[in-house]
Amino acid sequence: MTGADPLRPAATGFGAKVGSFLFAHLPPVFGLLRWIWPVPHFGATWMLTRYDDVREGFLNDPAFMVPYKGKLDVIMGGVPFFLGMADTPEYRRDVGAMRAIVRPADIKDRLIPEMNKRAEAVVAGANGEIEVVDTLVRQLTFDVLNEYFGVFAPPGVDLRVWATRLFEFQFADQSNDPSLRKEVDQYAPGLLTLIDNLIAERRQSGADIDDVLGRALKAQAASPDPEAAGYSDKQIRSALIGFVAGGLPQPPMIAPQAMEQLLRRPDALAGAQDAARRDDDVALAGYVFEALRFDPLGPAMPRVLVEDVTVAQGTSRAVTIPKGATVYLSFMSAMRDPRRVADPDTFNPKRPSSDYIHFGMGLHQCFGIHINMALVPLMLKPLLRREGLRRKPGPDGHLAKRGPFADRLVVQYRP
Amino acid sequence: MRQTVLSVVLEVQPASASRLREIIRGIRKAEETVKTDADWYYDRLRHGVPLLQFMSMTVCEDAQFDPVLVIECNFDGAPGPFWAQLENLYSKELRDMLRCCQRPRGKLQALFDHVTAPESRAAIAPFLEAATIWPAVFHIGNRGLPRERSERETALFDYCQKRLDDEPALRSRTATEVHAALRTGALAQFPWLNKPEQPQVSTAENIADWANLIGFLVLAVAVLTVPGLLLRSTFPSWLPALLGILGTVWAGFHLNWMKDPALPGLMGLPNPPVIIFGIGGVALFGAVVSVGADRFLHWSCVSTVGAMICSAGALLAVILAWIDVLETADPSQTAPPLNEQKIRDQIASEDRITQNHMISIVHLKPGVLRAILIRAGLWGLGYFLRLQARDGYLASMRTIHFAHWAFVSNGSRLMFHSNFDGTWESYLDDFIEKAHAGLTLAWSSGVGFPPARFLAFEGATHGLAFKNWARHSMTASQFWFSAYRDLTVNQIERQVLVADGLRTPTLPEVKAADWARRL
Repeated sequence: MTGADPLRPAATGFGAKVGSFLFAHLPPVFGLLRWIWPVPHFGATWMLTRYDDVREGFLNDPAFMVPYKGKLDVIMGGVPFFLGMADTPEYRRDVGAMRAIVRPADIKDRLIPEMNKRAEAVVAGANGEIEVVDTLVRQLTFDVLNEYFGVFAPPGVDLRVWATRLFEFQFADQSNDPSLRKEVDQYAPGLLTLIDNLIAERRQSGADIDDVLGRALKAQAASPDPEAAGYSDKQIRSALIGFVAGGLPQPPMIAPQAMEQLLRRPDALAGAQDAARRDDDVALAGYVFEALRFDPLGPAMPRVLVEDVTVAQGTSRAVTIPKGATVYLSFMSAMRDPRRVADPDTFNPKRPSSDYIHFGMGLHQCFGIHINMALVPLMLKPLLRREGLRRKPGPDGHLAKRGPFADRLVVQYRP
Repeated sequence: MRQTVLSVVLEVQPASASRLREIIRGIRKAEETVKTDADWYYDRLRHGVPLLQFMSMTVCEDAQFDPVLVIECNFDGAPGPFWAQLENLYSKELRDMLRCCQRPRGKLQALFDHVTAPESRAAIAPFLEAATIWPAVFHIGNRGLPRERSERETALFDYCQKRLDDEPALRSRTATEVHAALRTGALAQFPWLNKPEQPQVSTAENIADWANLIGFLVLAVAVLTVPGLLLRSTFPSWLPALLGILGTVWAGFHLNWMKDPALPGLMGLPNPPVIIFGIGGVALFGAVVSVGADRFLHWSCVSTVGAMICSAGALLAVILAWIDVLETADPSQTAPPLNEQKIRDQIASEDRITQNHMISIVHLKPGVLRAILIRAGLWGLGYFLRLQARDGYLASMRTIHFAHWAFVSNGSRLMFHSNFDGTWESYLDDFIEKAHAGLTLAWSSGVGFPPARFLAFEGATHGLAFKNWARHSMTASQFWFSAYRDLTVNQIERQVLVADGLRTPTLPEVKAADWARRL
């Protein structure tokens, strides 16, 4: 890997500052919208802000179609990936194929011990001060999970940069920025070639490595019709690109955001530290994902309607949204909706799972939800175990963002 | 801390009643099979719906009505988050259950259609919220104590008990020393002891409780006195006075002056002559004041007040006499037919844990007066209980966690739910002995209820007849959940006192001794 900055330079100017201010103050805006205009719209762009409506949008996937296919085709070279599919037999085949090789048992038997070991080593080696976003979380995420996937970058290639750019292009480039597209046109084919080479090298070497790539190739060899089973070379490649570009940039966004929220709440931080020191990973996860409720991955996820849909039918706010409209499902707003979430402004690390929509719901719920739920708290755990954990004095000690991405947060602790 | 008591009652398609029962039993079976703790069922529900304290799901049959599905819920906080938590857990089952129900008419129809349409993925919570039936009157034993707090305090109490068991030497020390020793250890393990708890009844709730009761009494007085006020402001003073006296005389003629109880073996509790002369005296006094102040003193205001007093006395006398006429002629059902299989089912579902559950639905007697009085009576009783029963005690009983009455079937039936400690027999015995007046007031308008007098007397004091009637009206729930199967109302309140004591840095010996008795 190189030392390149995984994030693009921050936007500048008055507009960027206004946007950044609004982004930081979305919760009260959503609070007002939920109350007076729960389904706001501007032209063909709509937004659902209440818990019930957001939930319905996620679960009603036949009508609320994911809009990802166009950009996924750019990234995947036209090979379909299940993130962009409707609930079709192909979708079920491809998801089923990956679930067979990304096994739940791996989390407990392999990923958790590995993450614990590496996270502790990173924090122990930082000598009392560490930058959380890149040095800790991004490094851990890419190291541990790429090893698990079997995706290794050759010298001169920084997968952190490639994956983060592709992620931004796919999920956070609403304005279709030409400069970003220029980079994507370079990195996407590069990643395709990189994975193709990895597949070819692995097959040629005959090495029996128990990672996701190795398991996929084994399943391919065992199948009379690999494509029908979801294990053709292209299908394996698309899945691995999806995991790397769609999954790995997420922990460096959410884990630092959770840490920032904990640092803002001394009681919650003390509780999380206590849980970390007691090795109570369930309690620790409760603190981390509750912290994240106050600053989740993003404000909303888009969907495109493939038919006219009446949202909140049977209620006084029922509204029919026309086919073709882009609808943003604001899970950030939903998780703060007092109509369905008890005391939403209170930090409560013992909330039930129904209070959280961090990873979406329904057909396109994040494929890596269980990995994220297990590993993200562990990335912060060694830090939380340290005595004297505090912000670094000055601006570095407060989480800075670049657009939707966490950029920098430096904390100190007793070495 | 707000606690909510509610139920959802939906008419079931008769042909789907068996299927509905199976779905509910399926939920129960799944909960009882997924045993993730060595000694605990219902873990999924307990963790998935942390707000929930008690819940039952029952399909109730009736010869005169289609079956109804009753979902009774008692939980912490507002309904919205509770329904969301429940839906998250039982989305498929709840939707299948609703599909067994009849399509409601009116405002609920569109929501019902949306939720039950084939392949529907619409949120169910809004429908359940809209279909909620609020209690006419309810009682919460451990008021203001959320489940989360009770669980914390249970752990603390267990810790204290263990310390006392493990360290016998503690028992020979003074109460102050025991308190100090337990507090030192408990603070390390239960850091929340350093923080004050929310009061069980907040100042705002207290003000609201008083305001509600006072408002109810003012309204009741207004209803009784307004006729006098209107008559006095329109007619000469003698007319309201005359009408009041005539009304009282009419009541005296129609009242059953007999003191004998309706059923043998029990002394007549109310004394009709005393009642009629007492109330008649009030009416007469008002009439005299009204006419006297007008004719001789020319005090118009006093005259109006007199007319209002006369009106109140006369109306009360007429209402009581009217009720007495109705009650005297009421048919009763002292030996209702008891379905042996149904009773076996009920008994089989009882006494599995410390608490038990009861659901009963009864038909209401007809008539405008009764319809008004039972609603007003339950309304007032509810406000009274909010003030009177705050420490777990209802009268002198401290065994009821949550209980409520609600009108169902368009007001033609009265539903009762209770989640109580101990056996059904002892629960009803307690009621018969200690709270028969309130019980009779709530239930005396039920068809077949043992003969009552003046709404609140006799009735439930006919113990055997009452028990037979209650059993007859009950249904065994297909699903019943208690969040804390080992805790009685008394124990929960006891734990509050133990925790409160441990929050205090030092206790003088007298207070410490009182505190130590709780251990």
